[in-house]
Amino acid sequence: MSTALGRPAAVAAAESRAATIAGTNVATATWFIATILLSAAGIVVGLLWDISWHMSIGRDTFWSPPHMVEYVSGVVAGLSCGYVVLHTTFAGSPADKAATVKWWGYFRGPLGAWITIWGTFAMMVSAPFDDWWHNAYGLDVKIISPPHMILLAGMLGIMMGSLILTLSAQNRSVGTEHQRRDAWMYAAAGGVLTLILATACIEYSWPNAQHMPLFYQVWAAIFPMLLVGYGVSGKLRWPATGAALCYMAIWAVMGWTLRNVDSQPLLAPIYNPRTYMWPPYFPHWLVVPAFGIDLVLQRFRGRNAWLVATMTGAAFVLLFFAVQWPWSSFMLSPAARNGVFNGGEFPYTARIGVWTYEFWTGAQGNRVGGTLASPLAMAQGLLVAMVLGTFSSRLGLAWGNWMARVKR
Amino acid sequence: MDRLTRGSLAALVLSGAVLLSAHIGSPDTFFEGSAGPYPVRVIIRAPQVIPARAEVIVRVTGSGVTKVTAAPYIWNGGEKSAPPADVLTRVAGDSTLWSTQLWIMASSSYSVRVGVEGAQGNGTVVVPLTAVATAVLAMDPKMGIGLAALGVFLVVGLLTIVGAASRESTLEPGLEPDAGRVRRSWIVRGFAAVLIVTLLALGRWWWNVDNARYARGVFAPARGAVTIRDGAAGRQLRFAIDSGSYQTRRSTSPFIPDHGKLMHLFLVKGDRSALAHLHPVAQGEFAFEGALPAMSAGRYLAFADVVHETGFAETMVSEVEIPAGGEGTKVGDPDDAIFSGAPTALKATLAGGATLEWERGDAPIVAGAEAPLTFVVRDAKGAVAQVEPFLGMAAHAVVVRDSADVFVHLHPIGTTSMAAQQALTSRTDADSLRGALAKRLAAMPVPHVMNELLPGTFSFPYAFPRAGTYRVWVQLRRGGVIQTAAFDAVVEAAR
Repeated sequence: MSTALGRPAAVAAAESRAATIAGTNVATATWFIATILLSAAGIVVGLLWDISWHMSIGRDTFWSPPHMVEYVSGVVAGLSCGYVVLHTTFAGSPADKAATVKWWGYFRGPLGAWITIWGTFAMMVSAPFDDWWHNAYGLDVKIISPPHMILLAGMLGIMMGSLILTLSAQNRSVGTEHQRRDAWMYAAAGGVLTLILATACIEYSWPNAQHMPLFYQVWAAIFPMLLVGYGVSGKLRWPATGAALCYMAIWAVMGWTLRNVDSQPLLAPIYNPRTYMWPPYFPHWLVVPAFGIDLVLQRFRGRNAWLVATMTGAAFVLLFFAVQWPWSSFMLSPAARNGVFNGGEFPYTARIGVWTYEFWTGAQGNRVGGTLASPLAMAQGLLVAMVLGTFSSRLGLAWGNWMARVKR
Repeated sequence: MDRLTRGSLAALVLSGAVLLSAHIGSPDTFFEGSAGPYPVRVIIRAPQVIPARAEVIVRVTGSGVTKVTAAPYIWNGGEKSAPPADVLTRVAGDSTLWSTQLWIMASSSYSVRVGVEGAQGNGTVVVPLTAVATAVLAMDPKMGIGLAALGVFLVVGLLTIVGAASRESTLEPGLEPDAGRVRRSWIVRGFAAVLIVTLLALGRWWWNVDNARYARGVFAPARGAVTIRDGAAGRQLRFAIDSGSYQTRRSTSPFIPDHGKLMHLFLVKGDRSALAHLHPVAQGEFAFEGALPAMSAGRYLAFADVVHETGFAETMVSEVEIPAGGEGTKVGDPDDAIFSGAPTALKATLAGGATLEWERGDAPIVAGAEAPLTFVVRDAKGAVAQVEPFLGMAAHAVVVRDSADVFVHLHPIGTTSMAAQQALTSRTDADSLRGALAKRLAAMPVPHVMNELLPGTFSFPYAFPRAGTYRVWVQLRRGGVIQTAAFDAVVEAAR
């Protein structure tokens, strides 16, 4: 299956396809995909900044800087995709339209663009609903509320949109000179999606919560799906590891940046008079279980899916536990209370005390039950985490196998 | 009796009344006092939900004012827990009026510290604020339809995405999906629709749960039961707090005396023809007893004002059927007063030929706007007279709306309680034990001079919350006797 020049026929075919699709085609243009990826990153950076804002300043309006970053990112993403859809539908050549999906039998655009537009629209819909919610039940009584879930769905839509756009670009450029660049863009989009889910888990993920099974169960339920999905569909040598690295890098930079921004709490009662923005604690070492997942997938891919899922689920839990258990002890030590690791940083509403430097028996400083898990209870809890990790991995395999084939 | 009480109270609650703690149906705080050398009039427009922003409006009449600030201090928070004060901005077109919005994050008792800076120096005054959630907002049908339409659009969009993803996203560019792919994509869309509907149903259930939880947290006045007993010592009244209804909503804290009394109990006859202002004495933690002089028989609404040591002021409600009899019962407390009589238009006659005139003016009284509640006492010769302090004040006013969904007890300092102000300003770190401050305050002398005469011109800072006819009883003391006059205020709806 080689040409006279010794190059695989598939590569030549792919390059010729890519050459056809490239040119003036905006739907597959790198600037367009990069814009959506940056918008997705902007949303998650804004979200983490917003959480820090609520932990440091408390008082906000619709016009607060983190909100503006989120909404501007959402609008830029939605408008860019809207432009691409209109351009492709009304002014696109047949080659332009080739790499798109149909919408209501007429409109044409890449699948990722449609998902992004949906996400932007959901974000916009959540705004009046959230405003009404505040009037009816008070200003942000809870983070997890129905209008916030619609907002989160919209944000996730934009993350997914950027993931699918980078994915289809990666899948189309197999064998071309852009393969490596496109594969890294896909890993970055995966890192951004990982980041928003890690942000959503923030209340369960304090270093103080990591000597109890719940932390490992929450993470095992969510992240193997993502990492296995990337592992199966990414074209890097270590795709899950690459995505986890991107998550850790953005999170760490956020922590190192925010702690250098002065702030003052503006809502009573203030129990912890912060003078600078709450920096997210050092990112969890997701890169370690991600590497394990990549290894398992390289060695056992193609075997029975449930067998592979069991192995990746177990690898995730064991490796994550092996690194986070000692790491969380370090994070609670005085050695971590500095600008590198951001240990011991709490919101202005926290009554600082011994509990802030101890392991908790519940997720959010909750001490119900009173004692930490015994080794046996911990082992049982990790077993539950592995079961969750197996199901999560199995979903990830199915998702990844579909993603590996997406080309539009 | 119990059924009557509960039924009427339910009617009161269901009448759509905006219920508020320190008063009934009158949520805003009005205060008149001085911040150092500057006379101030403060209005705090209470939010209906908590957390929310409360609008603070301050009128400063002193000259050379450069800056006005306000900050809400939660009753047990202390100095360190308060955020920096908000700086008020001047209201355009009125050089004496300043406003801002304060963030109230929890249902509780607050001292709002209003600071004034200017050429005459700096001054601060504490305005007690009892902040509670009082309502659940219903969604405007138009907004509901609009949001539902957007929601349907989102769901259709999601199904379209699922369809496209399963039909052609994995096809090589340029290829068209075959019949098998199209059919499969419809099946996938069907499953997705079931999943989405399930998620929406879960969301609806979650919303209902949240709504119910919120509704349980909405403040409703505590209930009491009034019983009347005729015995050797004459007629006795007992107000027993329904501790069940009381304790489930909030932690209790001891009461503190307001104007020297732990409870100010107002009995208002159904047809508004009689009023009693009594001060029963505590019998244990949840009951108050006192003498009930003879009153015209009939059904009465009971409103009991109390103040907690946290500064939280509230009005408890009940009803009672007062039978004929009780003649010969002596007044139990020298500050008790009963009154029966019809309202007068503007000028009421007091004992000894003196008069109490309502300087109402000619302008209509409008809901939400500052009400012209200025009164003048004149002696028999027509000269402005002086009054003796009654419960530490020149006068008291009791305001009840025709449908009884508004009850408020006013002073010349406004709607706020003197005791609440005292509790909030007296609290120190040493008062962290429950009851410590109440004990300390109870031992303090009643904070007013009993013998000093006060000017016979006074006004009550207030705005009627909504349109209707309000009965206003004004009480004052002259010649050692408490005198009451009744007026009717017809309030128009705000335009």
